Amino acid sequence: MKEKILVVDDEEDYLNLLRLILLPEGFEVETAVDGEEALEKLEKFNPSLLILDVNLPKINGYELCKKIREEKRFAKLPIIMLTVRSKEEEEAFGLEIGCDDYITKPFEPTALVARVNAVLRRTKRKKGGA
Amino acid sequence: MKLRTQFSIFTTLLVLLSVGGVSGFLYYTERRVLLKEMAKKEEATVKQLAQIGREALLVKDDLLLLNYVNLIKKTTPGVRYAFIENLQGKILAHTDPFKIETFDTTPVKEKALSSEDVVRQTFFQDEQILDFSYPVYLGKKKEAIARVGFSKKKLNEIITESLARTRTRILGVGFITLIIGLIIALVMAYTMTKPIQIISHGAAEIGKGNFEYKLNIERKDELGKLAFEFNKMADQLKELDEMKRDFVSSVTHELRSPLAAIESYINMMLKRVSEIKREISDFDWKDNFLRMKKNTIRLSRFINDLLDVAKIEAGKLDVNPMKIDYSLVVKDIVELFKPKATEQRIDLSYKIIENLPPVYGDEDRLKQVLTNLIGNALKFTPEGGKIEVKVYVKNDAVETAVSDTGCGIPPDKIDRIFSKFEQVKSARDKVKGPKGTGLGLTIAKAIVELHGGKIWVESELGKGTTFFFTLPVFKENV
Repeated sequence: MKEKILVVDDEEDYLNLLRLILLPEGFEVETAVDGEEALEKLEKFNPSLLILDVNLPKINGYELCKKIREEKRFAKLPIIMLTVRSKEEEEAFGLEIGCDDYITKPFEPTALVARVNAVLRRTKRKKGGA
Repeated sequence: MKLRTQFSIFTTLLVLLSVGGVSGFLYYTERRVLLKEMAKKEEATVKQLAQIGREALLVKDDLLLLNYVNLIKKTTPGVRYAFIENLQGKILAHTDPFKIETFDTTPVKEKALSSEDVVRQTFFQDEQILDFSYPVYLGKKKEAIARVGFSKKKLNEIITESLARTRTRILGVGFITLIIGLIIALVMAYTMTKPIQIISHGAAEIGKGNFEYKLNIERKDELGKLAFEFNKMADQLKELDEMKRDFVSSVTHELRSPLAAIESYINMMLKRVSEIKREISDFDWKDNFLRMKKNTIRLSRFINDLLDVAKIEAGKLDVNPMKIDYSLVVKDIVELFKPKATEQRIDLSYKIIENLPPVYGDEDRLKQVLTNLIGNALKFTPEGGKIEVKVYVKNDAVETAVSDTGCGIPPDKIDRIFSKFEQVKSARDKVKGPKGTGLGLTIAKAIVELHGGKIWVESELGKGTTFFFTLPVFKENV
């Protein structure tokens, strides 16, 4: 079965880019441009991984991440944050909020895919163990 | 020197000076009063002697006279002698019994014998003597002269002694006043300089960038006002600092995000190029390159905006106006935005009056203004909205109105939208994609004003916003 990934970013260029990178790797990709749409798509699409941009309109990425974590169904959903800001200044805060990994823009497609696979493996192992 | 020390020294000197002055004045007046009283007493003594002498002469009682002169010497301090003499200078009664029935030998006898009222004379006999004489009348006839002599030295001693007492009293009071004054002065110096110290400490804190620091001075005087204004200044600084930080963060985003997009695309394409043997068919080279181009444009536009603002700040932004067909400029820009408007399902249209007179303007700069205003309208207008650009002539100028059916501008923010870096935060949060940095309107305003025009805005929250600006009509010989 194909792993489903939901990508949330308000800039269409990034959505397109991630689609281009992830689709050939055998993932199913769905996109959303803001927090509201993301929550909607989460319900409908039930992804196994969420890639979340920090700089979103209305609700920013952190708040959205927190909100998703508060819901029991998505408490274990792996989340990778995307940001243009420097890693050090954001990582501590983001990990505290409950995201699983961090990718800073710009990124290497290979590195991104590696991260995605790593996070997915980690979650599966946890599930298997439980 | 510390302000507190200066203040203490100043007030101490002031207290010293006033206490010294008051004491000196008191001492001087006391001395004058004393001398006056003394003189009065001396005159009274001789007058009284004359009175008794008159009575004694009337009843021819020499003994009474003798007793009285002796009484005077005993009771009046400083008396050297007292006697009554007849007009020939023969002494009738004297404090010195041996002088009775002898003739007056004092060097001031002459004048004393001819005295009609109190006569005051001095002479030297063993010591300085102050002599008072007063005539004794029987009816209208001058019969004798009463004489009283005081030792000047004794009189001075009496005055000095009395003044010494006064001085001690004044000094005592002065000293107590001085102590109290000094205590008050020091307390004043402390209470006056304490707030200054607090304010100085506060200024140092704010200098360090701690804009949260608040002065806690509850006073109704100038220092209280200073503290109040100081706190207001700190708030202002804090606001500015936040504004700057917001700006820096939007700059960061606006510079880095497009750059990052370009780089990421390039990364991805490089990967594809290396895998080119595997798959080539469904990969859209053109689209990817277009995206790169778009982001590059966005970035360079932003950098141009920054440069423009820097030029405005330095007063170096210039326009090169000439005779232009403004309607073509408007049509150009509107057409440029048409595809984007259609994509956002927004009805973008223009309405230009027929026979629009030529405008005296800088085409590129005016395009910049229109791009900014229409771009803003597109950013803040929801799907299904309407944007209209109207160009007409009003008050001998070409007026342009760009109206949208967007979210509107809150009344409390409307005055500030033309300021640098100013973007209404609530509006900013609604925008998807590129957000802008709040420089566009600042630049637009500068351009319009450099053309000699005016730019202003009317807005109703939730209904829409209209931006207006005027441009001069081209006139020959201008």
